[in-house]
Amino acid sequence: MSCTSPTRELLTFWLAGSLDPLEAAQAQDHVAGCADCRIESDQARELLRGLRDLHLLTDEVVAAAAYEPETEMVGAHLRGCARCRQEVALLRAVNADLARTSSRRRGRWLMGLAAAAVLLIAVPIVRQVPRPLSVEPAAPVAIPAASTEAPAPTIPRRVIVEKASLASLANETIVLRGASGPRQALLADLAAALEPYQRDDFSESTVRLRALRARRPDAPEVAYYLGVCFLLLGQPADAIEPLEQAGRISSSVDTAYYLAVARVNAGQTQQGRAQLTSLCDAGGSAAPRACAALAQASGSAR
Amino acid sequence: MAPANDDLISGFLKGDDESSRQIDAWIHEVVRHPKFGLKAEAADLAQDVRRKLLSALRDGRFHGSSTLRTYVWRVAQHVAIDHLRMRRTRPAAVPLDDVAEPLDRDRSPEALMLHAERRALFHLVLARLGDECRDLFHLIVFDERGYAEIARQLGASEGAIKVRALRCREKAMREYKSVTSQRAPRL
Repeated sequence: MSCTSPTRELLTFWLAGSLDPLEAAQAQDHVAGCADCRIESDQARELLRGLRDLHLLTDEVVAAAAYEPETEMVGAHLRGCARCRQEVALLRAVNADLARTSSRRRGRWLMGLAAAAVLLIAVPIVRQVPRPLSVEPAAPVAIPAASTEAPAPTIPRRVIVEKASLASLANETIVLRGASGPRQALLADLAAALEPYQRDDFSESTVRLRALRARRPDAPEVAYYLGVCFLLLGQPADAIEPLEQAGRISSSVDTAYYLAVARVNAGQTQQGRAQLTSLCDAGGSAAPRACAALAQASGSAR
Repeated sequence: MAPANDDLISGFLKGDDESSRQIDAWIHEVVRHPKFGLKAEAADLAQDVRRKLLSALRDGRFHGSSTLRTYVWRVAQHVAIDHLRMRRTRPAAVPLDDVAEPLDRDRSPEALMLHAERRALFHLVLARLGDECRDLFHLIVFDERGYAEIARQLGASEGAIKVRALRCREKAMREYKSVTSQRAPRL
């Protein structure tokens, strides 16, 4: 390669389409008049085209959003490509909404059925919480789309994870506004770390929370949201340790639901299901989510 | 497959109103979902989903491994993501044909196999580059960022990023040639 023009350094960006119009025109003119750069840009164009082909196919995005097992190539690409991660996160958020909606509908239907039973046979209904468990799984999980693959009913199903609320942190920030102290400093750091989380950029929040955790290993909220981020990124095995730690540091941080889901999704199915069953039966505020998660994890009536 | 699915499918294929309404409702749950932000395009996309479903159900591509509703949701998600990808701003210097288009799942097995092989090859090239060049290609190719933005993000000068991009491109070309020459005898 004999060309020494500085334009040569811009060829990759020109081919990627990220130069401004003036620079792009200059690059185009240079390539048109330089035989060496023409050959090089043809080769580089092929390289970029091949790298672009590594973007996940739509089928792969839909499958990843449903937490289906991914190939090494898909996993590697997802770790490096924010755009594909965003698509997967978008579908997971939609799936979570769909699951919630259908769960509510089934709940209403079961309540109606229960009421009818009371009227008809005048027997008290023992079960207190209408559980959406006697029908199909709530969420679109682990189902091959338009493929000829056989279903694998013995593989434990993954639970679609919803974002944890930031409401208590926001409330505390408002209450403590104007004061100063270590707690306020932590809240400010947490707000910065969770800013990408609010935009569903869990990857970036994970990076920030990890850094914050190194400085504040005593803060249960940091470990808690780090665990939740791992779960939302589809890395349940990584979520277990921070969630366990959050629970150990402070019993006021309720990690039970996310920890149970992390265990189910990480393959510690028996333990995870037992915890979900216990939460579901307890009838507390986590019960509806736990019951729905249990139905997803089981893929059948409980 | 549950009998309810069978009835719905046969009703949908025959154009039965009730079955079509039920399937349309499931389609709309996805394509009109606010997170997609499709608004005006939602009706066209719903039609596209219907067309794909008709074709898939006629060809017996739904095997009943999920509920029909889940299958419909999934086809609708497929169409929605394809649409969002098509709507993205396209790079200027690369012909439209070259921008990552959704691969048609109905393409021939041979085409799919060639595509998979090609991806494996470039995956290998990328894996061999080392962290610095791999990260740079992620930013340039996958995230479609310019050199100024990358320089800001990495805390480097614009000149350094341009030089790094040139060196990484040269390295990638060497790896590409190395990988393809190793693979050639097997073909």
